[in-house]
Amino acid sequence: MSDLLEVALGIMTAVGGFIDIGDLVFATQAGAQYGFQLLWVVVVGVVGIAVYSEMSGRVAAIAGRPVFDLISHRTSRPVGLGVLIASEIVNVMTCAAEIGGAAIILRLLFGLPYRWLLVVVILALVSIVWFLSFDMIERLFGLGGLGLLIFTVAAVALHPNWGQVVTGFVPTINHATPLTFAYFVVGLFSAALMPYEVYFYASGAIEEGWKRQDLTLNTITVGIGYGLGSVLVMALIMFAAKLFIPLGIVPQVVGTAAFGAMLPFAKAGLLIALIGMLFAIGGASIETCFAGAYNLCQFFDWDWGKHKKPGKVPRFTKSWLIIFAAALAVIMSGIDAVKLTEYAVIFSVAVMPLTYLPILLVAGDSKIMGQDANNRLTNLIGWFYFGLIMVAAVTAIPLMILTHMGQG
Amino acid sequence: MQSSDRPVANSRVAIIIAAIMLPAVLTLALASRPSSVGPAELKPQIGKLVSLASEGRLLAEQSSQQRTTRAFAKTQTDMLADNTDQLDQSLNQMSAKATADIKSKLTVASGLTRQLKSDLEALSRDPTKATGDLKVLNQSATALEQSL
Repeated sequence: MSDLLEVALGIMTAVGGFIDIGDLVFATQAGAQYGFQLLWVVVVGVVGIAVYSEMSGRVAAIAGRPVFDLISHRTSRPVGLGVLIASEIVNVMTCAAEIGGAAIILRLLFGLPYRWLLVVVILALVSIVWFLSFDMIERLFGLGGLGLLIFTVAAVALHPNWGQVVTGFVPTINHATPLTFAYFVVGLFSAALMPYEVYFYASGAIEEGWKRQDLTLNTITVGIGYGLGSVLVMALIMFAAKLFIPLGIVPQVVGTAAFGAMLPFAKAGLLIALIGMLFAIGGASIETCFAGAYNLCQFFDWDWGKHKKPGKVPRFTKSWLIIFAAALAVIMSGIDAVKLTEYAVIFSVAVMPLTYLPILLVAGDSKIMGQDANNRLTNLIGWFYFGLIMVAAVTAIPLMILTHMGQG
Repeated sequence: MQSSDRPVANSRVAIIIAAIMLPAVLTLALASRPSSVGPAELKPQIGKLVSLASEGRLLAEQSSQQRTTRAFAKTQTDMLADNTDQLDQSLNQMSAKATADIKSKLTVASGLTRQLKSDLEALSRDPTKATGDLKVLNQSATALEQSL
């Protein structure tokens, strides 16, 4: 029974923790501009992140090796250092965007000054990370993020045309504005496959001491948890399509997404949505910060782990504190959180290939993984997705420039 | 390094990095050429104006019906006003490079943007009146967008 509860909690945590500010921004903008036409990208993206998270979790459980350990050992030192620097820049950018997003949500809830709330957010996050265990942090933010389910209820309550919804799962090209459409395809795909997610997931597996017997939990968490989490992203696209297209609204600020719950359910829906967004974005800011600290420690072979007391792992503790401080400095500079999110998502594709390739190579290496190495089908899917990741990596920045960040 | 780790060859890494960087650098070089501002460049900005006015109207409507909280309405209005300021700035920057056929439309767009700012400022004082004003402004902006 307790095992079942553990699995259920794991799934709920994965669902609630699936959404971050990148998903909120890209999904609502995509729905507002292209209706249901981009739903298929969510499916492609979630299968990709599930495949690679499952592999990284399996490698962590069997070989005891997190992602950046694989990167540093599968590439030469200068290349590994280059990937580390690039991934740290993206992690800090993403963390800054998430902190900014959390402060905006608090401002929408309480109406207090933004800059003060940035400080409140960072103090709250540092306190939570300092005092709560890894499990507690995951549960707190994952379960709090379930408030986002209000968007799923709202998407249904708005009575979408289900025939059009189904059509949205068929891959298509928009001939009227093909470049902007392609930008959103790449943006949604990249938001689903943000590298910090696998850095955090694999390191978390090691934090929780996963062994071979946890492989089923690994498969269930990524399969069901991520699958259900992607329903939330689809709901964001669906309500944005239903609500914003007729009004000509293209969301430009984080709070616009909350209309999706406010219009059908008034104040109660608004508050549930904002609280869900606060926990989802707050949780993502911790994940990105930890991902950065894990990467640093794993690359330089420093002792790390949230399960250890802060004083026992001083370099790890300093790393996450410095990343939070750097992220606060970035967002305090006055940069717009939504713009920063878009930059972070698009630039993250530059580090994607050299993040995912080592995972694929090690997960398929029977000398390291033994009988738990990738089978042919998993390898095939992994290489197929690596091809998609390369296409996204090559096209992301040109599309961002050519479409002025999706504005046409 | 673990004994069974086989490093990815540096040449392959170089190919991956080049494949990512080259198109980005080339696009940046091509896109950074100075160009004039025509209807195609103006239309997305007017689209933004339509979006801001429409969202403002929706917010005013929800406020007048007391379906939203005061903090949400105030904060969201402030953020829409900030975006309106940014839009005003980009329209001003465009005017120097604007082609003759869009100069008058650019002037109309700038006027509507300033009107939007004023309507958003009035939203918290009288959301019912703001609903009507923003509806009219939204219609004007939509007509301008369709004329491009």
